[in-house]
Amino acid sequence: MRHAATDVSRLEAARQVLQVRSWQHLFNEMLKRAPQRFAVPIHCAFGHEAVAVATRMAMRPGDRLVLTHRNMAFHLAHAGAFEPVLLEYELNAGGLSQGRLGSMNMANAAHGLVYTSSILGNNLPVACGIALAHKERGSGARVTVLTGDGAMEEGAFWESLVFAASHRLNVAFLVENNNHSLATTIAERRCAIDIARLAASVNVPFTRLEGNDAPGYASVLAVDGPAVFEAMVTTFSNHAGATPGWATDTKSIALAGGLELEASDRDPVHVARRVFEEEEYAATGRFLAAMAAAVLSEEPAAVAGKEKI
Amino acid sequence: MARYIDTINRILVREAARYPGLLQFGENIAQGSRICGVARGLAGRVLTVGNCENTHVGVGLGMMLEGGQALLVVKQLDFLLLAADQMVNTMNLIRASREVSSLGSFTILTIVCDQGWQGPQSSFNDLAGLCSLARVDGYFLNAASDAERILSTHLVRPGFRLIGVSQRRFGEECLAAPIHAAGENESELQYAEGSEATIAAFGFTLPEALQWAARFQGEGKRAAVFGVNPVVPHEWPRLASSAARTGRLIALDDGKGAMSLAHKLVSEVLRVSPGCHVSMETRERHGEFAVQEDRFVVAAA
Repeated sequence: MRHAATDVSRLEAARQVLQVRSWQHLFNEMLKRAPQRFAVPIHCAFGHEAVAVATRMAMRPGDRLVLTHRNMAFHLAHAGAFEPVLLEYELNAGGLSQGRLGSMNMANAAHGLVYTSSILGNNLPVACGIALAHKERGSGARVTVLTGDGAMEEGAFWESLVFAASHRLNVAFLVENNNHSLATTIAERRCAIDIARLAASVNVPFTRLEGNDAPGYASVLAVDGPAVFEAMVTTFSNHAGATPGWATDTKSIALAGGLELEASDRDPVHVARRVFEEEEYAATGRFLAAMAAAVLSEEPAAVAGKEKI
Repeated sequence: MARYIDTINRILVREAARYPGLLQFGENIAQGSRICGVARGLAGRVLTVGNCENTHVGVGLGMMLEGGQALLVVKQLDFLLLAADQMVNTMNLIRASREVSSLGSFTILTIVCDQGWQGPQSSFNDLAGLCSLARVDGYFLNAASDAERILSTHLVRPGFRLIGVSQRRFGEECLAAPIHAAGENESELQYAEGSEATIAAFGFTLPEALQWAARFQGEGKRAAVFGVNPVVPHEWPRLASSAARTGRLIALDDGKGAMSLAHKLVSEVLRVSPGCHVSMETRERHGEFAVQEDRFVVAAA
């Protein structure tokens, strides 16, 4: 069955999810092969692709996106290219941030990704300031700021939420809840936080995002703030490099195994596969296999080429 | 008599009014005493905000990133310790990624609680130390002359800086203290010429420095007097060459930080002029850390 008006966006979103996943596989293979290849720490974000693609789909010209250290999927999705991100990891002048910011502070001002912080909670007040500047000039720009279930424990989350609510800023707090702060689960470190009630207490609307439906996420995110979103995410990769005890250690993720990591809606690629199936792509399996093969065929060249830089 | 606080407030209100797009924000900025009178009469975009200093500084820096103009007025310098992450870490990132000329303006104007009765927990007065930590420019408003010069030049300009006013001076008559010469970006301000000694006033010690100069004059000697601001890079060439010429440097600093910028000046002067006679008057030297001894007292010359 085809969905005439939404076919393009659904298929395009699914394609972007696969593309971002394939590029993350490339980085993962590089890290597995040579962990010391990059001077900067690399945080893979397997499982974050749907949220990343959704933020790209929801952004309008002039909007802003403020990121955290786990930004690989977001930069790949918004840049729509592999090489500028790779070059930034290599601190090369051709990188997305001219090789000046590396991985954890990578920015892409040309696409509105203006600030990325490696410090938990640090980006939230800055995002409020960006939103306030746009409010003052009446630009109507929407600012989306990423945070996580760990970073939201910082006081800056509450302060910024109150500030945004008090001054009715057009800012969306997007909490990626992957149930982890490095290797510690929420239950291991703190009490549960009901973000819906927290947001309601300051009269800010809240929406939970589940199921990794990128176009669906995008339509929800495309509202003016203040707003709070909690995206339920399964991070299949670890913090940065191999982390003992992580359920799906990066080393166990192999490109040769295909793009999909888990046959459930927890994996955005699995959801993307279903989009293709619904769109009567009879050869979905072959498509995914071909994509993986294409990535595999690209990878040696990409690695070899970059080693010369 | 023109009181210090009234003079600072008058100049601040006048200078802020030059920038219609300037967002002036702070806790109690438009209520009650208007932050001890500092913010009284501010017009235009004035925004009262809640009690979240870390967020206030992040907001100011975020506005600056987007080309906005922001002035944050803070009741006490020690409140800004809550914002050390934004001041240090965010500024490090901005510095690495943006040219200053591409930025908007963010200025924090803060009261330094140095009046001696604040209690041990709220008596942090090391504005220079905080600026040094963040590697941003800082300015001390000691007199009408430097308030005129600094607020007219640095209240709104690309980048981020802190400006301090001294609460212990609020009720005093504001010094006129004409400026004879100034270093780059007002890093050093010279108030008097002299050939027998060089007096460097760090923090809010200009009144004491001028008193020392007057004492010298009573003895038939003339001392050069400088006010020093923690402007990056921390170099004060006029001051250093004056000390080399006079052969005697007296450095005053009322800051409570153990490593005063006065130490840097002294080490630089001694490197260039090993024979220079140096006298440092700091809190550390006099052990003035007890609450009862909170007031800065200059020892006898």
